[in-house]
Amino acid sequence: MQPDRGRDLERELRELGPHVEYPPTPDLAGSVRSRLEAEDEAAAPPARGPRLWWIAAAAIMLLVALPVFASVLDAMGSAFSGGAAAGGGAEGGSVAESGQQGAADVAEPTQPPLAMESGASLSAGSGSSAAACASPEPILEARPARGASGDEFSIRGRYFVAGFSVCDDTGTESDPSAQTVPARDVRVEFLQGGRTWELGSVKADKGSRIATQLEVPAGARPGRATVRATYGQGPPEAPYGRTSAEARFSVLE
Amino acid sequence: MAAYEDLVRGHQAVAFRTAFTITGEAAEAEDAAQEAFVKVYRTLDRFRSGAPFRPWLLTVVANEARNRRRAAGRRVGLTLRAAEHESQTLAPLSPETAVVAQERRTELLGAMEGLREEDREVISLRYFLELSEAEAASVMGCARGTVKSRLSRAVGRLREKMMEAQDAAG
Repeated sequence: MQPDRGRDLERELRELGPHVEYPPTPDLAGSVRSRLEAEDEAAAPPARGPRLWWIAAAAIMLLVALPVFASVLDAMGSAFSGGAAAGGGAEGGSVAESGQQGAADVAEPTQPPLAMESGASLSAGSGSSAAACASPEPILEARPARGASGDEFSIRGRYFVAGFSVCDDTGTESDPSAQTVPARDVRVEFLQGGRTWELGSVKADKGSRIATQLEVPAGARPGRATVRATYGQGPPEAPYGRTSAEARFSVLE
Repeated sequence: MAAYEDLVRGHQAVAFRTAFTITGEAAEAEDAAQEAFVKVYRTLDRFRSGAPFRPWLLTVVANEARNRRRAAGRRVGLTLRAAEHESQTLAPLSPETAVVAQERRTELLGAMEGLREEDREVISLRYFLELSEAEAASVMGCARGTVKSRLSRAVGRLREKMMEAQDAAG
C-alpha cells in the first residue's frame, strides 16, 4: 500500500513539473556575450584597439600640415637655387619672393612623392599613435544590481577616458595610464521602459575610474532597468563624440 | 564567440532554473547563471573533449548560486507556483477536472514549501527540472546513490506533509 502511494506521489510530482511556473528566463546568451566582449577588450593591451577618431584626427592634421610643409620645403629649395642665381640672396624680400615662385613651379612634380611619403608616415604614425593612445571601451557595474525604489546602490566604472594629454606617436610603448585624461563630466542616468531619470554627474579619478553611491528613483517600477554613464570623448572644446557604458539593474517591489 | 552564444542559448533555461532552485531569487539566479557561463567559457580549454557539457555547466552554476546564497546569509524561501494554464499538448480537461487538478498542484507545491531546503532541492531538480541522477548529483555535489536516497526520503516527508494537511483540513 505504502509503496504504491509513494509511486503515485512520484508520478504526480513528475506531472507537476511542466506546470511549475518559474520566473522568465533572462537573455543570458546576449548578456554573456556582451560581458565576454567587454572583458576581452578591457584585458587586451591598448595597442590592440585603434580608435577611428584618432586616425581621423591624425589624417586631418596631416592634411593641414602637408601644404605648409611643402611650401617650407620649396622655399628652402628655392632659397638655395634662387639665392645662387641672384648672387647670394642677401635680401630677404627676394628670397621670399623666389621661394613663392619656386613653390608654384615645383608644386606639381614635388607634391606627389611628398604625398606618398606622407601617406606612408600617416599609416605608420596613426598606427603607433593609436598604439600609444587607444583606450578600452568604458565598463560599468552596479552593486547590488537590484533594489527597490529609494534603495541605495553603488556604481563603479573603468576606462572613462576623455582624451590623452600626451600622444606618443613615435611607436614606442609607453604607459597609457600616464597619458590619459580622465572624463570630467560623466552623466549618470537610470532608464526603464522609455523613462529616464537623471541621477547626477561624476568625475573620473586619475585612473579614469568612477565610483559613486546612488538611489533607485522613486518612480521606478519593479522589473528590468539600466544604469547608463555617458560622457564626451576628446578635449572639452572638441569632444569627438559621446561614449556610454551601461549596467543592468533589477528594480524590486 | 557566436558558437558559444548558441551554446548558452541552448542551456540558459536549465541553468537559470537550477540557480533559481538554489537561490530562490530571480536576480541572484540570473547573476549566478551569467557568472557560471562566463567562467565556463574561460575554462573551456580545460574541458575534457567528449565529456557531457551539461553536468559540468550545472556544477559551476550550482557553485555560483550557493556562493551567492551564502553571501546573502539567508535561508531560501523558494516559492513555486503552478501555472494556471493547462498543457496544450494534452486533451482539454473539463472545467471541473481542470479546477481539481489545479487545486491538487497548488496543494502539492504548498506542502513542498514546508519541506527542508535539501528536500525541496532534490525534488525540484529531479522532477521539475527533469535532471538525470548524474546531473542532480553534480548540482548537489554528492554521489548518484545519495541523490536516490535523498529523493526517496524527501518524497516520504512530502507525503507526510500532505497527509498532515489533509488531516488538518478534516
